[in-house]
Amino acid sequence: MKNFYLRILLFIILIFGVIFSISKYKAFTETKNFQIINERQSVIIQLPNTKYIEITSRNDSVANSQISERPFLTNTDVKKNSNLESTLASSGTSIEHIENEKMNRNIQLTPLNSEVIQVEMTTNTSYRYVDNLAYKMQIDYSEKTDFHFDKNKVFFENNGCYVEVTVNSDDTKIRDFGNEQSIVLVQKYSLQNIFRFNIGIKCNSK
Amino acid sequence: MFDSIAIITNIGVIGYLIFTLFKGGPTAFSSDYIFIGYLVITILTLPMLISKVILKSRVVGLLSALSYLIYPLQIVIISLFTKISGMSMGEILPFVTIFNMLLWNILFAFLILFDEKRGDYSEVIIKNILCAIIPGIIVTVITAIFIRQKDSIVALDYLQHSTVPNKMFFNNITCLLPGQCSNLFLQHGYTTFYHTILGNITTFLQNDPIRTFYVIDILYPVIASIPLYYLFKKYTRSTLWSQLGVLLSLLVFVMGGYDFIFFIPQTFALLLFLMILKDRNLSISGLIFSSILLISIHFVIGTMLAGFLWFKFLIIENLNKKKEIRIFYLILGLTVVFFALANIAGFSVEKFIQSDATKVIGSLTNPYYPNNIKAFGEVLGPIWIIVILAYITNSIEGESSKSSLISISFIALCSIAYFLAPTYANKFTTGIGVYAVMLIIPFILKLRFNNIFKLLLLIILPSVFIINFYIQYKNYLSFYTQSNGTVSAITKEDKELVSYLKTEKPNKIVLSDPYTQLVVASLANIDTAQAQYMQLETREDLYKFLKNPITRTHEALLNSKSLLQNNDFDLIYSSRLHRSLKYDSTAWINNIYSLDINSDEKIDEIDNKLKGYLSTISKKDIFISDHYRLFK
Repeated sequence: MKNFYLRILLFIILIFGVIFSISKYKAFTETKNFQIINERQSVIIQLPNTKYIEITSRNDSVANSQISERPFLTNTDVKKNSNLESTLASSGTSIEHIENEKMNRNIQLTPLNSEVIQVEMTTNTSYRYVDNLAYKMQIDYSEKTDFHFDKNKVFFENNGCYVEVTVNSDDTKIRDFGNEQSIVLVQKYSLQNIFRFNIGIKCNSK
Repeated sequence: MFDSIAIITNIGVIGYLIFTLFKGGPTAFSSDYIFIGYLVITILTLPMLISKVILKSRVVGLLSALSYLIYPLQIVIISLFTKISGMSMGEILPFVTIFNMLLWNILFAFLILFDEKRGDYSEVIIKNILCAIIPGIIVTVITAIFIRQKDSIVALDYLQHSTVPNKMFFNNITCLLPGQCSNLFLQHGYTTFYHTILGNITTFLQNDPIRTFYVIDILYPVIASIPLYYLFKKYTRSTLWSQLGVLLSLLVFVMGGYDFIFFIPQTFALLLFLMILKDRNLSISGLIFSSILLISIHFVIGTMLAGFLWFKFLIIENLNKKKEIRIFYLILGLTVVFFALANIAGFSVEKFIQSDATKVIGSLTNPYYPNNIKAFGEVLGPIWIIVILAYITNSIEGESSKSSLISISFIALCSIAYFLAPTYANKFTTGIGVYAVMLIIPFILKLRFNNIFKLLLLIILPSVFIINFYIQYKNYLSFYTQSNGTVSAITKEDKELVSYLKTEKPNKIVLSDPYTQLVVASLANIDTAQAQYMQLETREDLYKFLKNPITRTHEALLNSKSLLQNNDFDLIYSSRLHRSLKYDSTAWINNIYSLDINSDEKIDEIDNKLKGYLSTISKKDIFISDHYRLFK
């Protein structure tokens, strides 16, 4: 009797295994709406419409109405995992780690499927807190476009691609930078800021 | 019948080789797939024949593993002979490899012709080997057709290791540790045992190295299937289920471990470990010999595998009572959970104890939570659930079979080592696929399925493994994918450089970017500044010198560690260096593994200041190609 249940359980697991493997294979071979280029001084998400989204540490700022500092305008160390995959385990996640003396910034981009990239950015900086101080990170698009702002998200459509940035927490606000090319994610400043958001990309010509 | 198949196949191959010899001369062999394949098979299976025919032992066992020592022994003898005779190693070593091929044929003939007179079973042996290699051939076909591009090298390890037999062959150097022969080894991780075998396959007959490395990768699963089959036969006693076990074991791509994907020291240690594991009741002296053998192949993985053998001898062999076995399983399971939780909480040997090593490398070598759990999970994919099911069932039942005890112990010990996270922790998962399959095949057999369900299992299980293997392998290949879509460590521009340097050798130590150095060190036997392991400090000094070539930066470069006290150098101004300078791309300076595979950036113009300074230190600018310049 015990064997009977184990047999059924084994077959259920195997059927799950087959479904899981096939869906993983499909996701693996599926043409993606984007390509993450993590070899230059910034992280670039290349779209099939030849345009790109750029996230660069140099544009991060710690600011309020009176002051504005750029913690990573210069950097003392840059590490990227994109070309470290020869002997180290491949994770499928693109990682950029920037240091400027004792301050550091780590960004991880994990494609969840062919249309969504999960982004997590952690910064460790050391500024003295003053009123209304905020940490701002910037996301740039390579062309001027019309941004549409919703509660927790911003979206735009350009050259056959629909791009949507969605933040997952109320601590993070999305603001328009004002140049029709950039948006800014803003958090109240702390020694460690963690930004979590998803970038959704759908293109007609993928 | 099986004897006849083996003899006819061998005669057929020899006939083809004789025909090729008459048609194209001996040089035609250097890039002939059949010849290289035949060489790989004869060199890697000769010790099995020695064990069977000369030592009258088993094809797979401790003595066959020890028989691989014939290769280092030959090098020692040749080294002594060259000292007495005054001949060079390069003159003698080709005959050693030819001797090994002839010896293989003689022993093969002895196995078949003379065994039968004594009433032994060469027919049975050949049948077993043919049964064993069928799954290996299936994996080879899948890999060659669906995964690998023809003549691709996808492991930089081959390039690094080949510098050792190169030094033996071209420079008359014999060494116990690879670092004594070649400056490409920062740490002593192994003896040159493995390199003597690699030399027989690649260097001593001067085969096309790129093609040879490719053929090794393609045929290695066939070789590995022999000990695997004998091992599974020991535990299942069924030909079909043993073949399934071999197939599934070969279809596990262990990232970082590369069990049966590449022939490198750690996988060679695994191969011999599996041979030794096949032996019943190893004595203490057998264990000591096994330990020395495994450790000499790889100081870390060999030690771990030797530790497994001792663990089996001291603990597993002494477990008899069901209660003891249940407690044993429970302790193993809880220990794995404990170390996994400790890892998730942030503990890692690499972070807390090996900080000096990570400073040299320039970063941590392991992925961390949740990426490490993800990477670990991907080794077996959904099959992990069956492993856990088998573990729980066997624990509750107090399953006392050796296959269960050994496989659960080994999986647990591998997992503990992985979660302790020393540097390159993923290497400690070497062999985890074999143990997992060794656990689930007897577990499935125990459930006594009827024939229809057995047939279903024979279809479903390999399907799940094949898909996971394909995705894991393809993911791994992403590093070796060049911008033009070619998947190989060597670019076409590199080949041009190598062919130039083979005829026009620089006289001094060669400086370039680490990747180019590795290519020329391995394929053109050029002395470099530690190639891919050029130290971070030297990388920075080189970059600063190229950016600002003045006396101060030049002197700093000359005094740099990887220059190894050389007071002059020749510079290969590579496409990779050019791109780094042009785009300020400096990742390779900060991390020892940050290498750029592409060399397609044309060198349009070299900074005049650099050219001027190099000319003041008497470096002549030599045009090699659009992608390479040599200053010597």
